[in-house]
Amino acid sequence: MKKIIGLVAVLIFTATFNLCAQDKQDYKNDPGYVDFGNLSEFLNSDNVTEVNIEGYLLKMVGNATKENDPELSKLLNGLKLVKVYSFNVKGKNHKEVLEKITKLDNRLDGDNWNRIVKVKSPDENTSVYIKTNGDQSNILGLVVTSLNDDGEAAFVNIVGKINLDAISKLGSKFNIPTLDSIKGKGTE
Amino acid sequence: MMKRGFLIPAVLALVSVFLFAGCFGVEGNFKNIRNDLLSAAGTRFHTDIEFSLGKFGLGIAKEIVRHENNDEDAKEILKHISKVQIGVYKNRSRTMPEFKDSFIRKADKEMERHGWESIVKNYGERELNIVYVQNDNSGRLSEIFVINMDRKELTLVEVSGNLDEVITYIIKEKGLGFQYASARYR
Repeated sequence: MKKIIGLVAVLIFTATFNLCAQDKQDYKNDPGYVDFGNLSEFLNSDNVTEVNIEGYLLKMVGNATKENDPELSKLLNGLKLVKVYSFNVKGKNHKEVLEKITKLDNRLDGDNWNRIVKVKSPDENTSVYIKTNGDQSNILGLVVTSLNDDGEAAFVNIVGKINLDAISKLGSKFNIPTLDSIKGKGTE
Repeated sequence: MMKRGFLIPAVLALVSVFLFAGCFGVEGNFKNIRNDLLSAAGTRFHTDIEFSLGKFGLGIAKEIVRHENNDEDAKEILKHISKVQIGVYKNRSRTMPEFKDSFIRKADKEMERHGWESIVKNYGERELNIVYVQNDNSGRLSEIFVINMDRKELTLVEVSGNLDEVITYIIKEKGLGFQYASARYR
C-alpha cells in the first residue's frame, strides 16, 4: 500500500508535465525547437529519463508560482516546451553519442544558433546553444548537449522566450542537467 | 422483533450499495489498458489487487480525513479528485518482464490508442515508471495514468478529476519539488 501511496504522490507531482495537443503543432515550427532525431538506439541503456513538458502546463505552473517566485513564474509563462533525454552510455555507444553530438553541433552552427558554453575536456563534453531573434533582443530557444566520462549523456531543448538568468532556476527547480552553468551568459 | 432483525441488515445492505457504488470494480477502459500492458510485458502476471474508488468511496475517504486528522492538504486535494483506479499484478513466471525500449514503445502505442500521451518516462535495469496524461475538452488536465513495473509486479494507477486545481494547490502550498530527472545531475 505504501508503494501505491508513493505512486499517487509521484503521479500528482509529475502531473505538472502535461501535453496539450493544442500547443503541439505550434512549437515544432518554432525557431527555438530542435529535433534530436532518433535517439532510440541509446534509450536501451540504464537510467533513462525522457521528459516532455509543454506550454499549457508550464503556464499553469507559472501561474501557481507567481506569488512565491515571480521570476520563475515569468520564465515559465514564456516557455512552450521543455524536452529532456538523459541516459547512461556504455562501451561503443560512447563514441556513437559523441558522433551524434558532433553532428548536432554542426547542424546548430549551420542554423545560426550561438554556442554560449563549450566545455571540452578529457572527462566532459558539454555545449549550450541559444537561438535569438533577428535583432538578438530575445532568446527563442536553448539546447544543451552533454556527455561525460562516467557515461552520463543529456540532450535538452527549451523552446520559448528565455531569460538566461532565470533559466538556472528552472534547472535547479526541475532538476534539468547543466542548466545551472548558464546564468550570466549573454547573447553577445 | 423478527421484522426489525431483517430490516437492519437490509437497510445496511442498501446503504452499502449506495455508499460503495463506483468502488472496487475497475472500469472497462482500465481493463483494456491493463490487458494491453500485461500482454506487452511478455510474461505471466496475476491480479493481486484491483479496485476503484468513485464518488462515494472518495466521499468516505474525505469524511475519514475530516474526522480523523483534519488534514487540510488531503481535504483540498480529495475535493478535486473524482475517481481513483488501482491495479497491482504479480509476476508469476520466472521470466523477467520486458523493461526496456520494446515494452515502452508498445506501451506508448497502446496508451496513445486509448488517448493518453506520455510526459515522463524513467527506466533502467530494474524498474520503470511512465506517466501519461489526458486533457478534457476544455484543455484542462483531467486524468493521469502511472505505470510502475519491477521484476516482481506491475502497478497501474489512474486518477481522474480537476487535476489542474490539485496541482495548483500543491505548488502554492508546497512549492516545486519535482524529482523526475536523475539525481546524479544534482
